[in-house]
Amino acid sequence: MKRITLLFLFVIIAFASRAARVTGVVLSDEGYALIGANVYWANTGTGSITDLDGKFSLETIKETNKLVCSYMGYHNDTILVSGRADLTVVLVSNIYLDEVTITERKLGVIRSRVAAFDTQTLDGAELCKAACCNLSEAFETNASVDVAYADAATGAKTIRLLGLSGTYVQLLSENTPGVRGLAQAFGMEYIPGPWMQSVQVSKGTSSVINGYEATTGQINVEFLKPQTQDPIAVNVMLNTELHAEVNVEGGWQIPLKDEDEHEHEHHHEEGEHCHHKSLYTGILGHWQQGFMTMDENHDSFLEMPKSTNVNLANRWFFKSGDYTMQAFVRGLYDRRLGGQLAEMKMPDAEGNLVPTTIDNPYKIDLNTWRIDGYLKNGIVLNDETGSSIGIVAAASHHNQANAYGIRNWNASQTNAYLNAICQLNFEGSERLGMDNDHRLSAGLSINFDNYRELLHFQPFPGLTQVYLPPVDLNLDRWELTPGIFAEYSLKLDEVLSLVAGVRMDYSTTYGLFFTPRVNVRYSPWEWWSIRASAGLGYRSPNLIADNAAMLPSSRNILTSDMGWTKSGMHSEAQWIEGPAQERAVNSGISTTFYIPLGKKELQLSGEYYYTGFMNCLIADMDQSPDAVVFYNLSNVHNLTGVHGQSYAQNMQVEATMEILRGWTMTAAFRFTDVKQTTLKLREDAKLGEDKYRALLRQKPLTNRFKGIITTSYQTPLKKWQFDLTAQFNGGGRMPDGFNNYFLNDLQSKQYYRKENDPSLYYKWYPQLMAQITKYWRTCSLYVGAENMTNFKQENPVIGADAPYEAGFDASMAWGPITGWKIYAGFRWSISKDE
Amino acid sequence: MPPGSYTIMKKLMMALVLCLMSISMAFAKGEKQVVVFDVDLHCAGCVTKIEKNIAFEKGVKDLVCNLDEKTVVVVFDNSKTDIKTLQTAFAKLGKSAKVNAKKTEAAVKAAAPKK
Repeated sequence: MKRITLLFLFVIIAFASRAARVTGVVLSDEGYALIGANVYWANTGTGSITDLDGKFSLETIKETNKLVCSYMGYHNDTILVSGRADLTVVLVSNIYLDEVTITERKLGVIRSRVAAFDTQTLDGAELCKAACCNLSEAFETNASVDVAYADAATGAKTIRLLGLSGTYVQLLSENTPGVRGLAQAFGMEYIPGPWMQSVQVSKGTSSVINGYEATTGQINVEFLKPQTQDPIAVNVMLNTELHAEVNVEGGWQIPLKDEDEHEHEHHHEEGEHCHHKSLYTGILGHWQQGFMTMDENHDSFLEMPKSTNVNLANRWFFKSGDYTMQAFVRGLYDRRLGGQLAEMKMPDAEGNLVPTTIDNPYKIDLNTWRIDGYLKNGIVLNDETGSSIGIVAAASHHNQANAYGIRNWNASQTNAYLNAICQLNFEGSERLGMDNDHRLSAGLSINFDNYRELLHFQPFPGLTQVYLPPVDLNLDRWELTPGIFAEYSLKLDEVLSLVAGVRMDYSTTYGLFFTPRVNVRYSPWEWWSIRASAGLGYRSPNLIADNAAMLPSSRNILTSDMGWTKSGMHSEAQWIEGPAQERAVNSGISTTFYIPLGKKELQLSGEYYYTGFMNCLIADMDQSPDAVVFYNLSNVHNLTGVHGQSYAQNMQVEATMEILRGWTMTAAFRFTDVKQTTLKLREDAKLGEDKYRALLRQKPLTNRFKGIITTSYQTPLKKWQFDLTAQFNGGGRMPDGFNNYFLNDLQSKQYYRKENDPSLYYKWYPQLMAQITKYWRTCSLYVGAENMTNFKQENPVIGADAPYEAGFDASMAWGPITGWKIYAGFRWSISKDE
Repeated sequence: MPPGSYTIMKKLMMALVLCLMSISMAFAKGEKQVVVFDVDLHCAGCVTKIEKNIAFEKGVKDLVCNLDEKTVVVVFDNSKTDIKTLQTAFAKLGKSAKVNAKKTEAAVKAAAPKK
């Protein structure tokens, strides 16, 4: 308990600055200055608000020496002030950001100890452990989130949480809608690594404040903030695939007229200045370019497309008294050129590489333009309790023109979002005999999405053996969803935290729906805590964007026969009914032991999560290797009389410890069981009998388990850092139809069959990555290697020699597509206070 | 793993250890000295600032900041730097560093090889 009490309160009495005045600074447990925190004498109305550096200055009063510090989202703290003092108050957050661990070496991943949500925060130190060019790579050293190639041709990476696709994770950027809808296909790569200040990963059901979408969890990215970021920071990176990257960031204060020159001189005695206006701006820039075309396995298909990405953002922070405003605007252009080239080096009969001309090469050309932004306004209503009103408006326009051979997917999405929230904090009652905090948040939100989407493709005569004309699948649609929500948070000492929320939304497409969610944490002893959560999540599925990996293939896209589109097989095919809303329940339980071993602490945690779908959109690749058939889980009952199931179970154990000074280690193991009911054509079905039967099977291309050991060593002077991560992933089922190809034609050792089981399985595979970083005063240099085991999935592109014919499939990716690579990078920054 | 690779790995490890040892020998010409400073540390930010800068002062071998006690323990090579130079380095960061004689004595005793 002592340690936690220390976290609560760091009072350091230093040199007195002025008579009868208390000055000090209020910091978050992450070390950032808390701007606009309330500092007041207990039971009086006398107080102040911290300025932009988190500093305050107060006249001492006779009545009391109890000074209260409060800040929204943080635990209140009361300090006894003796005489003249220069205070440092560290407030511990109670919701998203977590505790500081006072180990000598700060762990890069901080698992929340006090929050009701099962949240991990990946801070700057963790994000620097791997090359981390973008958000998807931020999780390469994380046990809970999996990163994998979506397909074998576009280089797109996707994430999985709790065994389910990233589409079921709500991805937020600074708590506004982030990667959603069309952006889901490649959106992880639209968030450059060096822009990120921290990433919060919440597993299981999460707060209703940000909407109804989070099913398996929530990932929130916080970008660098102009108030705290360095005036100039530059990052340059290059890897052995000749992929180069340049990032430039900077944040500055813009002097306003009424702020005079002594702002800087009397830096330590501010406080009266807290009602002054201040303005900051920041710029984030990112450019990346691939310079080399790479076909390591000489199957004529480039493993990685040649990509160009330009990403520019500008943000503003304005504060005047109790009012705070933040604005963010970002523009993005992304192009990927992959597939086949007209001239490629291919092996001849003897295996020598010779330049070969490919007639009518299969080209992949993906173009994306995107603009997005938000405006956040916050007003503190009551300085004492920190009650506040917040209004957030966000908008985005996403436009893409994608070509996969003769398939074209042209789409745009316009999104507008508004969220207004009122947070009321209540002082706890003294009768309870313990520290109790209550908070009520309530508000309303409106979300609007407008999609213009057209998929043009040529069906192949696989299933039907007849020639079919090209299909234009028109998926134009719009959806307006207003909603209201309320959430209550309770905290009793360190023992119990509870967050219970509910929201009601009306979708113009899916009607009225109701989202209850609850998270509880109980910790009777300092060394043990238990969390439980349960809640509902909803999503409007996007047929193509959620399954964009299927596009580089000649699989027919079948939506007919299931009753919700007129026909996917005719050129006049139109969106009529559309897929039903995806609805799921998520519940979980997790427990953590904090075991003291000498002066160090071992954290042992275990968890179990279950996600069960009432309905989801199934992309069935098992019916035929020539097709992907879409239907709703709820349609299974109409067609077979069997209630379809789709669920994911996860069990994970994790141990984390600082073993020696500067040496930290995490080991984790996870078992994932993801099953869903799919339809199988009955060949023996007689007239009048059901045409299909329902089969509950392991979801294909989903890893059954994952083991990870990640270790990091920093020299005592923090001049060198060594990171090593070993992983084994895998074991999973392949979609039906490839048994003969992999086992007999290829004689591949990467696959196997089980007795009395018609399915084909891929084996597990190891992964190893390492990085060395050298730090200097203002810069650092890092060199690292990825996929050091050089494990590659054999023949990831099936039928690469005839991409315009049935049987071509680049969507069957389950493992690494490229071999080992080495990268090196350089970071340089001018520190803020120099 | 091929049969010979274990011995190769072992040899490589040995070479690495020898290499590291010779580097540290080459550097350790003077004697290591411990000093404990009282520094007006306020927050994690101050600690980071000191770690980022003092670590790169010439002759500094080890550094431990203690926010609770507001002390900074510096181990340095006394042929390359001295307490005054270190204090100047702290002053450049806007921090006064006063030698805490009591704690320094205790640290020296703790660091002395036990016989």
